[in-house]
Amino acid sequence: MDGDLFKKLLQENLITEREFENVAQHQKTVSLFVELRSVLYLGIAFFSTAIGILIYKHIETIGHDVLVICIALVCVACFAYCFKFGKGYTNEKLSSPNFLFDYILLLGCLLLLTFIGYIQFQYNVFGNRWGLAVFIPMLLLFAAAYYFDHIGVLSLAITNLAAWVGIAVTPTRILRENDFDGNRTIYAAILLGVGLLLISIFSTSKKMKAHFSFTYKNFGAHILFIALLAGLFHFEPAYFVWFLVLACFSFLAFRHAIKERSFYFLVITALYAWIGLSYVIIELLTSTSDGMTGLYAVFFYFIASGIAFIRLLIYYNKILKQHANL
Amino acid sequence: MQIYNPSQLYNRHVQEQASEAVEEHLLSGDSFLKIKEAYPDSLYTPNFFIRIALALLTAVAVLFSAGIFGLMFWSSDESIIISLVFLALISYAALELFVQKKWFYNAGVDNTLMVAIPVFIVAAFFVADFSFDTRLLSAVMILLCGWLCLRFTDAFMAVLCYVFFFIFLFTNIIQFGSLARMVAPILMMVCSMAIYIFFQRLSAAGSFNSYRGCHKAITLSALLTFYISGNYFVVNKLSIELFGAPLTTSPLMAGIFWFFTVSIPVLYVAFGIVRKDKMLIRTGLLLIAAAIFTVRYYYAIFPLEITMFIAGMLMITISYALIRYLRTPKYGFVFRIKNADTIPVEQVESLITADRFGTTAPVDTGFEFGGGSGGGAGASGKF
Repeated sequence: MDGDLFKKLLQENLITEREFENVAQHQKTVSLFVELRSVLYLGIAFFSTAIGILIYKHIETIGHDVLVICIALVCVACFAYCFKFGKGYTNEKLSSPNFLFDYILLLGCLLLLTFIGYIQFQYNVFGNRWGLAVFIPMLLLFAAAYYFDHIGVLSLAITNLAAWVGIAVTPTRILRENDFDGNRTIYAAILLGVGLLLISIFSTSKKMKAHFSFTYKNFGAHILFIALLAGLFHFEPAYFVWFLVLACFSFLAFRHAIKERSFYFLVITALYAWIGLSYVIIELLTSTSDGMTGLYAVFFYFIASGIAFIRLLIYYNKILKQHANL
Repeated sequence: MQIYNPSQLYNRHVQEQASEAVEEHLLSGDSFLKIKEAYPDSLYTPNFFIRIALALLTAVAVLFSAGIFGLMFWSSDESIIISLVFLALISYAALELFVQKKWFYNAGVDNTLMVAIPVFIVAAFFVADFSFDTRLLSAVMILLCGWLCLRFTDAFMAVLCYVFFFIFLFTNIIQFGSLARMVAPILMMVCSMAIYIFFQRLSAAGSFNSYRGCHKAITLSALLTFYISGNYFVVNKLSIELFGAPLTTSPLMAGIFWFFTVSIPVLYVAFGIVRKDKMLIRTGLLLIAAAIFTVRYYYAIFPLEITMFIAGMLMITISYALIRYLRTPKYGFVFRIKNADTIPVEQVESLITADRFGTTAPVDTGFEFGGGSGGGAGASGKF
């Protein structure tokens, strides 16, 4: 921070003596929060990856039984730590008891996933009921997320729920690993998206971990938007119906964004809606006009719609500006 | 010369400093409002997410405008070059107009238009039968980016200008025979150092300057180029690529560059700690990783997983020990946990976690081990 500036503000009587002292005190020390935490996080990533490779290479000498027992022991230790220091369940937001708590809980949950996956892979505990091998960890993850109040674990649980339904939902996988050409995937994704949005509404209205609401809403909205767009692209003859559904949901999401003053939801709604609209207009333009004319029309459409959406966003930015929020 | 009024930029600076102080709970909201009133911000910078969307949509509009020109003037090289230059001019005109009329300042639209200008010009150079001259190209880019940087006080343009200046210098030095080639890396290091010291002084003098951001960006770039110029891997590969023979054949030269490769990052961190300079510390930490990769590239003493195991253990132990040690301020350093209410770090972190460790969808194949990626995002944060 600029020390001279605050001196000037003090002279201009814009800040109090005590506030100036605060700033001066603050300036005496340099916080290494970002640096140290990044190194710690990277170190954990390196360490766990190295352990994974080492085990993979030496599995013949270690033996599966020993390994499973080790994973289970560490996992139990993590959860024991969390139960000892955790504050128990409440409907409100809990602050973590210490710096390490969140990481240990996360480690426990990841090991739990590994453990269940391992015993299924090696010993075929659940037989051919693959669904069960995803369903059980999912329940445990949701329980841990709610009991210990951890948004990271909640995201893991939602990812597992989606896996149970049959789709991958994490940011880098959602488009790459899903077969959005299959009717089943699209319908499953729509149900999942709607379900998550309903849970989000429920969390807020019942005040049951209301701060989880954003996570549910975020996953739900993206899944539903992508599923609707996939429907729009996939169901060639009926695409207009899908466009209407997309438009309706966009409108609802848009109203919600305005109500909540959420720039984030405003932007994603505008972008998904723009993609859907562009698809329909390109379909119309290329089917009604031939060759070059159609191409020119498409290009002009993109310029015009780009500018129009820019103006729209600038306008709503002004409206939302009063009360900034995520 | 600069399009913004210095007082506009100064008011913005005051407000930024004040809001930073509020986030750290040093100022009351009351004082913040008073400051906001006394230093009104007339520049237009929308919300972060809106800025991203605006940048994307502007890119779409610019690209399709270029596409229309492409459709109309695809006949000859000359017409393509002329239309590219024309597009650059239009982008510049639009940029001037938006900033003068609406005071856009890092609003997404202006950033995209500003990047579009040098991109169109570079494209025009490439069209000319690929017979472009690096020295001419970089000279033109220095002038162009330099002007954009001066006019719009833009840090990214400052970096581009610096990079092209660096390329210009290097391509000129190596024209002067074999001795110049031999000492080129050292000359580039000296040049980086000189620029670093110059801009460091410049930003230290006086309390506020419209080009603060640019100075910071250039000092950071200078730190990086100082290391890159002396890095063994870079020198070795680049000299083979450009001169046909590596500069690092003699033990003396090899020794010098190995010394630079390993010692510079450590020195950065050490100087950073002594001078309490976060930029030096962060750059040093990042370059330590680069040094390790360089050493591993030539001398793989341990297999990868053992290296990662040792490095991971060291990183966890050191950072955890320091976190505990710096709970209370020591020697002017402290580990101050940032208030999570003001920044939604949690949300971002939770997504990254789910992405890296989450379960994949249809589970027919079971779980595979050893597939985890240890990349990570490097030392994150703003410089």
